[in-house]
Amino acid sequence: MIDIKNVTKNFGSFTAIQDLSFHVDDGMIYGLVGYNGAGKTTLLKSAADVYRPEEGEILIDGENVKDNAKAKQKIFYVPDDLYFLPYSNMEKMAKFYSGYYPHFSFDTFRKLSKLFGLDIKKRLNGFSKGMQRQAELILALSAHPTILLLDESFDGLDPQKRNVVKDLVGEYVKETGTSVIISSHNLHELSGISDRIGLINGKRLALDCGPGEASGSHSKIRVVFPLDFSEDVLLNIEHKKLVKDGKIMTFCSNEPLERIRQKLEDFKPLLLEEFPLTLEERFMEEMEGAEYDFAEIFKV
Amino acid sequence: MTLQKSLKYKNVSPFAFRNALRPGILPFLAYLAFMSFVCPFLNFINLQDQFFSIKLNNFYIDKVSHLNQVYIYSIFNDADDSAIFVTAATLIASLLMGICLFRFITSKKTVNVYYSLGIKRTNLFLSRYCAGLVLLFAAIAIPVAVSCIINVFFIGYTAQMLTSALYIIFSIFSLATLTYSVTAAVMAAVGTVIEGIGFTAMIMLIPTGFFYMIELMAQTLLYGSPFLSGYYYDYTRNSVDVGLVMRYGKFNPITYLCKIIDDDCIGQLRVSDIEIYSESPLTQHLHPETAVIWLIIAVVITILAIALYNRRKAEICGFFGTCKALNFAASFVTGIAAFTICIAWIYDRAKAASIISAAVLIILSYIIVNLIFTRSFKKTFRSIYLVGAEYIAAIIVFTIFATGGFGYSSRLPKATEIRSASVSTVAFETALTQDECDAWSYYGSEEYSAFNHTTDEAVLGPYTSFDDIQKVLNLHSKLIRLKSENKENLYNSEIVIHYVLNDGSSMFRYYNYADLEAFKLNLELYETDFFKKALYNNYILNEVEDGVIIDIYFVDMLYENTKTVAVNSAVKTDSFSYMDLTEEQFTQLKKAVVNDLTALSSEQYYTPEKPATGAIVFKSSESLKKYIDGENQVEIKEEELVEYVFNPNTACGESTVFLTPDMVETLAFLEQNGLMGYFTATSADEVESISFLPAVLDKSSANYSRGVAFSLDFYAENEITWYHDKDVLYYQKAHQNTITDKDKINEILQKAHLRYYTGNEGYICRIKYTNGESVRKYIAQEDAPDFVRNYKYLIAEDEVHSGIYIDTPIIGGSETAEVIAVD
Repeated sequence: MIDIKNVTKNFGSFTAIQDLSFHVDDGMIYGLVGYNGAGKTTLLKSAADVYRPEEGEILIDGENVKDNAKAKQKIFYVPDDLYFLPYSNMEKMAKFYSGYYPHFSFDTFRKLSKLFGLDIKKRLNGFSKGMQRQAELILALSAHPTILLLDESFDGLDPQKRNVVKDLVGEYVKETGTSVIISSHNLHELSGISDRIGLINGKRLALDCGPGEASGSHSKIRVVFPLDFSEDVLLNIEHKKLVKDGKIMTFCSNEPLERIRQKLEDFKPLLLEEFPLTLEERFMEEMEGAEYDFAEIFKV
Repeated sequence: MTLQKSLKYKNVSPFAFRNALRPGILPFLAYLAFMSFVCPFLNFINLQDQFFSIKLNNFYIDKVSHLNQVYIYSIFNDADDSAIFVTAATLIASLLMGICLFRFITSKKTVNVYYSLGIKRTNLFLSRYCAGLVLLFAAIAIPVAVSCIINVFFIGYTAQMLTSALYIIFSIFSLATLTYSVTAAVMAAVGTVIEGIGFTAMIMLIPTGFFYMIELMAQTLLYGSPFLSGYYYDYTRNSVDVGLVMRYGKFNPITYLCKIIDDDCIGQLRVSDIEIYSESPLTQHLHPETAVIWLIIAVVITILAIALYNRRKAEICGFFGTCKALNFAASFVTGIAAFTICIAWIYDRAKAASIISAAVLIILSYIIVNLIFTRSFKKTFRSIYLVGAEYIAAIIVFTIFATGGFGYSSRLPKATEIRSASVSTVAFETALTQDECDAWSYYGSEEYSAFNHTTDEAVLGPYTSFDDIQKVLNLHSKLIRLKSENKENLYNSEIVIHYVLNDGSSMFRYYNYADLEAFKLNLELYETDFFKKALYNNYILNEVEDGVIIDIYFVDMLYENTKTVAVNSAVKTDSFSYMDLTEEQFTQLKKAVVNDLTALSSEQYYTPEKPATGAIVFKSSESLKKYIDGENQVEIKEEELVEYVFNPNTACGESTVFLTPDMVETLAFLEQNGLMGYFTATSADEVESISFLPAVLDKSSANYSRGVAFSLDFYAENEITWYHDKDVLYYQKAHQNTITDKDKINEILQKAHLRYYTGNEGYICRIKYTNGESVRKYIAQEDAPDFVRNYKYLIAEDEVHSGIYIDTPIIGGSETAEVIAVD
């Protein structure tokens, strides 16, 4: 169980994450999404006690993780930027981790290595990036942690291996009740495996929901007008992501459908219908501020 | 699988320790290899050589059998050299060990792994720290232990050897621990390995740098500096350096191990030592308190390192200049160093300019250093107010020294407070040998120049009688007054005065300029009890200590081998003939010489009224092949012996006795034994011409070493051939006042001295013989005839010599007052 409580982390004068809180239950896979530089890695490193937050606390099974050897022995952090001992192979790395993780299983290690078809005696610096990532995941799962922190761990894996890893992690969580946080900027990846999704935007947690709850009070509205009205017809309606195609307008709004219907009554819409937002649409809606006007960039 | 919520905590520190040994292997092996070479390997070679020599000499066989009873041991082959190399290797190896074991905290990749592991940061730090220490200890202890085993094989086991070995291991280990701890602390504070190395080196060098800066400022601003690096005195056969760095070597992490190895615990085994050692057991000098104190400091630094490590932010890894405290320290040290060096270089030439330049340098160095760390003008200028601390420090140091240490440098002890005194010989040579010199090294005096006529050993003493000490005090008092008199005719020079006071404390003063009056007072030290005794010892007595002849003076030594004494007539200076003397005659000659020399006043010795008719030179001949060492004849190469006898480093002075009319007994001896025929007077008919030039040196000529054709202490010699091209030209041009008239030549020959203390006046005369040879002699100012005295010698002041030497004015002239043009 992981409790992130009001965590703020600064790098000098720059605030990377601010007052961020969420909870990961036992046996839960928590997907952490956000654009590049949103603070996903900072959060994971803070959870692993690599970074020390300026404010807030991170609890592992109720214990503050800060310099807590007992709590940290439950955690395996797989960073985005992998490190292996100089001139080492998987076997040496397994010995290394076995010294630090009380429940490291060489049996699991051998089985997983076989499953992925990796030579445990071959030097790791001779492995491809994808193979190194597989090796690190094997080592992580062999350590039998109860807290698994995976930072962009599917990057560099081929689709087949990606599915194997997902299945493995899912199975591991099911069997052991491990709490997992997986960070990624790929929403699709997380939506299939995560029990819950957290979206970091603007240094804060903008969204914290189950994959099916992504829509929340937000919905997508489609209106068909009898005439080709301008966008001004939506002036008094809170909306985002407006797409106009002649007489058809599609937009997102958190206002109830009935209120929207009343506000558009004067324009006599031919059709007014409401759809739930997919996780991706909700992600894009939250990230709207990050959109660029590319045409403006190249204007002379 | 089952839910593992009840994971048991495992203490992983032992594993972390074992794991940390791996990155330290390389520095360990390198250090071990070096120590094994310096300690057991070279020691083995040395012991094997020594014992081989011993076996060749039956005389020592009996002594060898009980060497272990006088506990001679040899841990290192050569203590002096080993001390330096071991210190350097220990510093480097410990620094590298610290870097190798703690570099993981400067990489994001490794920090991700190590910081997320289930181990407290303190435990992780300590496990790695201890791993490094164990490796360093092993690299020190193993070679010393092997050296001990070698000792047991050659000499036998002694408890003292074991104590010394443990003492050496402990001492070296304390330095290793200190350096390693500093490195660990620095690494815990910075973001990059480069900073780790740089700041560690800076911190370790700060005491040395501080001492040098203080010494430099004292020598520049104080007239009468109490510090002089490289100057040693040796009353008790334990040399003491009055340079700050070595004097306070125990307070300096770079030097304290050197002092320990040098001073305390190396029983260096030599064949010649065996007899002495076998008489009475060696005393073991162990002073572990120094190493203990440094070890305690290392522990304190380690505690600081742990605190820094725990507070360290992982996000600084890979970033340069993240530790503001160390950045400031670097800019502070650089600023003060720039200030001091600037003052030292320029102050004597331009006081105001040097102060302004030094002040500008402080701020410039601050900006440059901070730009390197921050790479931002904005950040650099935002913190520019910190440069104020550097200015305050610089002003304090400058004020202290510029005011003469608030009167400290002008302090003159009372004669009754002084047990003994020593003074350097300035502008003249001595007739004494090494054992009359209390110092065996003298900073900056390697150069043989007009105003620094000192050699490496030319600090003479100890003067112990009340009258002698009073004479030294007169000279010292004159030097102190010189500062306030602010005279213009000051000459760059290097005068050292050193007292040992009644309470055993030492008082040292170094003066870097003086005037001619001070030089004369220096000459008057010839008329001291010390000099008389020393001259007697030099010619008559072989000094005996504990029943053993500790040295054989070169005069005797030469005679023992050659049975001849070289003589040199006044005609030519480099040609010698050899007097064959019986042993009795030789003894009589020595007595006569020493009686005369001790009876001479300083005026008679340095400025004789009448010229010498010749000289007796105690000089080796080609037949000299062997030299006596105790009871053994040791075959040596002739050139080595010549070097031994005549090299100022070993002979400390001249072996020439000038036969002035004041040398009454010597002349009487020569006449009685029919030996005056060796000294033939020069006839005017043998001389083709004589040219003159004033014997005046520019006061800056102290820097004009080996370039000047004469010094204040003039010696006749054959016409120069080895001087700088410009000097040859200078002489050619200068010898314009040339006489060929036989009457005038005869008058000059009567007055020309072979040796004379010029006092920066008088005339050098170049005597050109009809056989083509030329000799330079000297005419005293008061002896100079009108045709020499009234000649208009001009100084072309604007002429500047080429080459490395500085602005010595060219002296020359003609009767028409024409300025001589050189080139």
